[in-house]
Amino acid sequence: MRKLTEKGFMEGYLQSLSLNNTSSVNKLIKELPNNPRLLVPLAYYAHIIGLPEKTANKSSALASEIEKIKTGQEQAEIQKLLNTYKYAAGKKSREDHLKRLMHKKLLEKMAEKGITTYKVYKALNLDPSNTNRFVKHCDCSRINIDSVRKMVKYVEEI
Amino acid sequence: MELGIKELKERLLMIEEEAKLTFSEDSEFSCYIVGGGALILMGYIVRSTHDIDAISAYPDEIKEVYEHYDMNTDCMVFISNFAEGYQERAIRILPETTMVKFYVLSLEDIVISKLCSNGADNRQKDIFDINSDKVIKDLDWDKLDELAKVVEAQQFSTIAREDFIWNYKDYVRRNKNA
Repeated sequence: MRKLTEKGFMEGYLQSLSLNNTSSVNKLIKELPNNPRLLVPLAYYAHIIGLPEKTANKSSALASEIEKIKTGQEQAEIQKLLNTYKYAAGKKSREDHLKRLMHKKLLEKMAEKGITTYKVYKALNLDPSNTNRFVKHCDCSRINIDSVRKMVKYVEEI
Repeated sequence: MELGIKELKERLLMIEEEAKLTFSEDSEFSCYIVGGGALILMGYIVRSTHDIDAISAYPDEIKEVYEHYDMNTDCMVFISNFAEGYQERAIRILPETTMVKFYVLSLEDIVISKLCSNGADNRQKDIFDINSDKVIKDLDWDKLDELAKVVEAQQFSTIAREDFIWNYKDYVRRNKNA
């Protein structure tokens, strides 16, 4: 999975905020008067990519917001943006956390019902090696969350 | 990047999933989603949201699970912005969840809470959310008026009360019968 960069995140985020589904800075600047939610994220994006002053000055609100960010006046809003970025970038670790919780449940149910790993991967048509690594060592790197969900469901219902 | 309704629903389902893996089978939690998150979940606005704001996130033991999914439960601080009885008016969403019952506040409750927002920047952003044609068309204006009176009485300070009255009157003047 490709690592989500702050710049990449901001581009996608601005596009999702845009009323015209665009990430073009010039188009976003034109949209600003009708879309106040764009202002802080766009100014932050402009700040991190070093948007030329000439472009920023197309909107006085944007230029003034960039200045506020540079002088640390929008800490709370920026923190919210960074939290969203952190959340989006943390998808894998959240899924791994869930996988580990499911692993615990899986082992409990397998022991309780005397189910072998072989039986699980055969029944669900999963990759034997990756399933074994997950069951034995809780190696979350080679198994996707939906396969783990299927395994838990299987051992619960059998 | 998915930060809209689909992503929000997935996030809530993962909260339910983690809760089921963490707490005993007979545990039950109620979660009332407010703000922009609720408007997105109801299909009134299409945009991404920073985080999900929620109230009544008690008992405390589930707070940690909510936090894993960026659900902000500090809205209890702003409880005076929600008219008494909001739980009864709330709408259940994702009926497939059994341990964590998710609700969105009624449209009128959300509009009123957004009109309590103070500070010019916040106000502009919050009012933008409730100015969509769909919100205005679906609003029950009599109910809104009823809730406005309750929230007005709930405000702790004169400034907050006056700000709210001004916002409310302005909103009604611009949008009712529009």
